[in-house]
Amino acid sequence: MQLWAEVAEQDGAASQSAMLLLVQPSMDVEQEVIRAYESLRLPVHLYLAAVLGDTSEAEDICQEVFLRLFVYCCGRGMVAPERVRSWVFRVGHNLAIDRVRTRKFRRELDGDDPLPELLQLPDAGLTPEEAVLEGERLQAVQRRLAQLSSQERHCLYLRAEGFRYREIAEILGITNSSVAEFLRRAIRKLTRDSHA
Amino acid sequence: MRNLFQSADRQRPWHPREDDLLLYIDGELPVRRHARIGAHLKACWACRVKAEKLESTIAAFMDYRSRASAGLGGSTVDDAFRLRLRTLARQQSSRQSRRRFVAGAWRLAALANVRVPAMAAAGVLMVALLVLAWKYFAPVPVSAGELLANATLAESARANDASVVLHRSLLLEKRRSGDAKPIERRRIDVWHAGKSGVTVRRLYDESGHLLAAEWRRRDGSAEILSPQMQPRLEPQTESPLAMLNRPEDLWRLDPSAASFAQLAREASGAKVARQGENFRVSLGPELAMGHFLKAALTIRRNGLRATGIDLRLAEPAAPAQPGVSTQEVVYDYSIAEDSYQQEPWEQAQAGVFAPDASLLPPEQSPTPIATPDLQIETTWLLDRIGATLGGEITVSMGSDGRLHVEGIVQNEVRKREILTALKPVRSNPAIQIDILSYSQALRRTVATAHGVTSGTSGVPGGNSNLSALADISEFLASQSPPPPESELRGRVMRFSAEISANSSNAARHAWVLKHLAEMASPGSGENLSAEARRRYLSMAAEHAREVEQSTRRLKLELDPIFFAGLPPPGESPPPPELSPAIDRLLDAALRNDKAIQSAFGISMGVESPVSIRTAEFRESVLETEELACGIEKQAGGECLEPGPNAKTSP
Repeated sequence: MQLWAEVAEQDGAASQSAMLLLVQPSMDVEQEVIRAYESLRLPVHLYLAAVLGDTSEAEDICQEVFLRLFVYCCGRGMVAPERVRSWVFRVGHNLAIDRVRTRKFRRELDGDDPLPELLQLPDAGLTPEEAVLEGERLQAVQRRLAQLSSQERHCLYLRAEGFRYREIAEILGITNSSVAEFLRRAIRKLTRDSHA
Repeated sequence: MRNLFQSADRQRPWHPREDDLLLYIDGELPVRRHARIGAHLKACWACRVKAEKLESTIAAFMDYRSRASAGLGGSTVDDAFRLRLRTLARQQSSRQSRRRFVAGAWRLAALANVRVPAMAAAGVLMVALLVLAWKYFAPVPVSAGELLANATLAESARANDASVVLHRSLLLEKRRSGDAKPIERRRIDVWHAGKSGVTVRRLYDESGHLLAAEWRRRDGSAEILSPQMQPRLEPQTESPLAMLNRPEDLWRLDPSAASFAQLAREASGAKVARQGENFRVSLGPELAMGHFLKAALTIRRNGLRATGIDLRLAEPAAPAQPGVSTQEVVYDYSIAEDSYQQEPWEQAQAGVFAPDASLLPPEQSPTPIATPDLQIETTWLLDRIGATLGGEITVSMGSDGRLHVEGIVQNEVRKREILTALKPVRSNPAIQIDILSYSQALRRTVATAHGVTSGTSGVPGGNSNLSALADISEFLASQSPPPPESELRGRVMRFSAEISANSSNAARHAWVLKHLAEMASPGSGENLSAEARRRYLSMAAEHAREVEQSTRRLKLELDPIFFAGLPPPGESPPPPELSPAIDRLLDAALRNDKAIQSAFGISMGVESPVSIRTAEFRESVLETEELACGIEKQAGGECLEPGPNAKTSP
């Protein structure tokens, strides 16, 4: 609820005018939301999986995010296309963090096996030796990722999504310099370990 | 200072920090710094390697990430999401319409620039309107059973209000299913008096002719009158379903919640719908039973009064078409209220509850049939005052089924006595009493074809059988001490009169016995009530005793005079059955009486074939006595067996 209020607040005057001018019919919004879901589902899911360390829970929250987008847009009209992406990630992030907090679910991706099922898939075109090497390489990355703090990991994944530092700061509710610092530490940890 | 720094820079080459390299790679540096680092990287291999290392770390992570994302999602996930979204959209659209309504109201208020109190008032008004609209259009919250139960209660409360008379007019229309034009229209006029509980229902055709009427009492019994048929009596209210089986009787079906509830119970289940000012309770085709296909009751919401009933019945096609006689035609019947009034009891016309003259059959009531019980009771009443003796009064079943009590009696006093005795049965319509006094009979100059006038009081003639009287005279004179001569004649006359009276008494009681036997033949005897049977038997026993005792006295009187020289009689045959015994008793008693009357000259011009001096006559007297005794016993009386002493006593 707190996050929800936050969102509404951020929408500010625009949402108030929308209240009075009752915009598009929900059918159009529904189609827009479906379109947004189709294009953003995978990145959001992946990010949420990274935050939660659980793909099925991430999937659940991912759907929830887009349903919220529909509800949010119903009375106000569709969010501007350039804002949809950050909106979705912001709400998703907040939902995931809420989930983590309320369920006392504090596994910070340092778990022994955060996304094991994803790494079991060998590439079709690889020889057995190459597949083994590939697996080792991925496991090394996973080990290094596990050493990141949750903030570092969030920033890393969001950056990987192509968000600029400013956007990441907005999504996570932190400052730009914090984002830069978290990213620097994250990359350093990943890099240093790779040399170790 | 500046120069100093510049010189230091020149001495120790500048390299960007690792943070800046990452910011450079990410394009997050200000333009000038970005350009500077870009230029430096072109010049510095070491920094380029650092930057490439960062890039490769990022590349490794991105590779890992893309691998991880490959296993996520799929079309099923999409489908699940679409379904959730559709559901939500449906919920949202109803919420949205409400929100739009409120927002519209706000906008209107804003446009009108209304102040807060006025807006509040408008809000209250709108809420009130919404509540009303909800009440009007909302689905019915009651079940059919509940509604019918409440409507039945309301109905019975109205029907039991003793202060008013209810009057309602109903229109009955019959149409072929699907046709708009009715093929039959009737008007039904219903009056109900709460005080007496009587309901009168009259059926009129379109031109206002009374076709039939029904009187229903509080206990449910009903009488139906119609010029086309005999009055019909129904001991109790018929089930509505039974009524549906006779469409010609549908006019007697009341559009009431009570009768419909019965129908609904038998059809097990009904649905309620709200139609404006009315509820409509319907039994759908899925509840069809036999000819009954559909029914619906309309109940006015205000007052819960049933105002109409619609029925759909399948009826066999008219027998006029022999080829299609097995087919069924579906008809729709509708009985709808046309008018409804409550009048105070005092102001209601009393005439509306009276039977209509045009409906009553010409005869007030059908001919009642006399029962065997009635016959026995009447005979018993007459018997108590001796009016059955000697055929003074005859009681017989007429061909019209009524009991005829006829006779001519000596005078008005006797007539009144007989009529008083008959009082308990006189009001019974099944009995016809026709009793005349002599004077009345003479005035009517009616020949006594029906009843035998009092045969006992025949005028004694002067033709006297001197020999018999001489025998008596001789017998009396031989008695010791002999009576004086002057008294002898008187004593002879008294003695002969006594003999004659005993004989005729026996004959008269034998007649009554015979009459009783005819009255209760073995078949009809079984139908008698216990009381009638008891009376019947006691009468039979009494008359048999009378015959027996009179005959015994006769025998005792005659024996010393006439039978002194005769041999004792032989063994008597075993007693016959009751009915032949009575016949034989009557024969014998009449034969004896005839002989006596002939001997003593009481009956004029009657010549008996039997002389009282013969053994044959004596046998006849003894037989009479025995038979009478046997009959008395069979009827439950007590008879002292006329022992051999009696027979042989001189």
